[in-house]
Amino acid sequence: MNHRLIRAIVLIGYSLLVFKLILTESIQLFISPKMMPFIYTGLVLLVIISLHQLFQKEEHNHHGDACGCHHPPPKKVSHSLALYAAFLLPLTTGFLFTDHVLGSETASKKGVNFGGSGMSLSLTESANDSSSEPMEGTSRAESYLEDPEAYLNSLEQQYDQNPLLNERPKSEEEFASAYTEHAETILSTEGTFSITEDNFVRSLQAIDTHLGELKDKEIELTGFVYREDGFKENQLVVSRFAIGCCVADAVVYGIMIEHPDAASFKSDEWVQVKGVIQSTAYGDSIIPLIEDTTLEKVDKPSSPYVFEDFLILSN
Amino acid sequence: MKKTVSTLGTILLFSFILFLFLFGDRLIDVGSSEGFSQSLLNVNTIFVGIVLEALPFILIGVFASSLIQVFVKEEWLVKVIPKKPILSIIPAILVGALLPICECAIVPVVRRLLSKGMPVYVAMVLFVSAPVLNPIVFASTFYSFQGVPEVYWGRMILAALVALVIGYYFVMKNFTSVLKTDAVLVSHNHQTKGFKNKANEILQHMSDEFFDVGKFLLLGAFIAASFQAFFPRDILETVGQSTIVSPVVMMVLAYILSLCSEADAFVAASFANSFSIPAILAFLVYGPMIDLKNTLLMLAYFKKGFVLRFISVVTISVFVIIMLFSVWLGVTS
Repeated sequence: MNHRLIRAIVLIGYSLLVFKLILTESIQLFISPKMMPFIYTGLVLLVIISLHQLFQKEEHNHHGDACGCHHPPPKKVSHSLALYAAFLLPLTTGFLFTDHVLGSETASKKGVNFGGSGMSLSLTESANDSSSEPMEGTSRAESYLEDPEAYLNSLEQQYDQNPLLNERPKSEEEFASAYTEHAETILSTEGTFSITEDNFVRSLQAIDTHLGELKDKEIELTGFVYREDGFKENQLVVSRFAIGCCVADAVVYGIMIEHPDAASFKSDEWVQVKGVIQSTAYGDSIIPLIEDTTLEKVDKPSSPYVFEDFLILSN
Repeated sequence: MKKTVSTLGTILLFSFILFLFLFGDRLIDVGSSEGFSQSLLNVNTIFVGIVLEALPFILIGVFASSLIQVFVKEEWLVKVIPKKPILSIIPAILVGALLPICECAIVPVVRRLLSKGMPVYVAMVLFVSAPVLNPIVFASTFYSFQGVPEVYWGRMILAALVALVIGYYFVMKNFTSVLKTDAVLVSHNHQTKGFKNKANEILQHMSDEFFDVGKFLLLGAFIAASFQAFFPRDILETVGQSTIVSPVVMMVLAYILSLCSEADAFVAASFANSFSIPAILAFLVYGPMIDLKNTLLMLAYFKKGFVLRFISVVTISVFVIIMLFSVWLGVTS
């Protein structure tokens, strides 16, 4: 078995895969643009070692066996075949299923952030004591702004019960205030604010943390349809996968909308929605809701994932 | 006869790959599949994604490891490291901080260093510190957890503490032979002279290590992808807040997901809604040090008993330090 040649072909195969993904821009279905320098480096190294393997002479035994620095290929042919088959697997499926895009199925496993940011949810669950006042409403900042005194009092009550939570308020105000600028941008934009691939997550987070101020503002966005059990017939979440560095770490963000025809849109279909920011209760918290919507089906965009440096999280 | 079959096979293989390259994406319409095949496609997308993401880092890691193999002389290592074991630990942590190597690429590097005569306690300190204590990881953690310095500073500080503990443990225990016998490289100097020969060696090592290390990456990536695609999160959320169970759960998760340390902060951020800060930190500190992927990698080179011992020590150290940290969090303010 000519290992060198087979390895050369496998390595060339990987080089071709990466090359093709870059050429067709499908690489962004797997990797965030900011990781591209690494991908290019990887490609260059792959090409170099595959060509090196290709043009090696068969016997390259200048060390002799005592050195042990050769990594001998598996002794049994069946092991070798298994080894190369394993390497061929992602290569083959990579080529065959390049354009598959993650959707509702994966989103439901990962969980979709459509407001309520879990901030209040965590707090009530950790407080774990029915005598404490459950924090309604996501936007801590909102509640705080409405009645600072009451907010702080209820917080104190909760933190006395659970010392670990004492860190939280500082970061939540920081969290909310990190989006204040963007919330102001949204507010001050004349007419409809258009949520784009470049500000998708930031916008949703801003709306979630400044729900009070952004009420009645009209926005539009594009995303795929996502539903959870317990949604009403006229509800669905318009969402997108946000990728930090690669598809494995994707986080899903979305916003709930209501529309009389919502039921006719299948999960994973792509839609464009325009509507007015309101709020609604969901579970233990208050989440943003888009009402008075126009909802239309659109084609899946060529770049379905978003790649902002968005990641600010509660907790 | 054998040669003809072999040549034929190779030609077929190459044609197969060429065919895939040219026509692969037109063969099957991925949009139309339903149900279970959707799940498989999801696993595949994540699987290929992890492999592609890790590939450059593996290559850079084996490149660094090959450079060490060819250029670093044992005598130099012996000279550079302070004689007193106790003195060597902190410099080792600092060196780890300078080398941005992820936890899959660190394995061949450490193996080379051990073969070159680096003491076990220094090598294992590098092993746990290099994947975490580097600027790239700090940046990704910072971006994922803006506004929560307990996380992005906590990760670095706690990881350094764990590295200290690990270092001193191995100073005390004084292991000497930890590599599998066929993984130990007989000490000698590569007498190959000349740039061309050295380049040849480096490139050959790179290819060999790619296939050695790569097979574990493939296994780990596949398991991590299946886990991500099939395991529903709400089961995890019910345990997310307890003081003791939640860090343990996050450590198990970090172990199974085997994410590269540059990326894991983004995944951790998605759990931030359900898990407490100490639990998140357990994920972020433990994951880069030990996970399924690099356990399998370690088993390729290190003796099984040592791998078990190492994993136990790191696990216990991380757990204890996280517990102490959560108490500290509770006490301060």
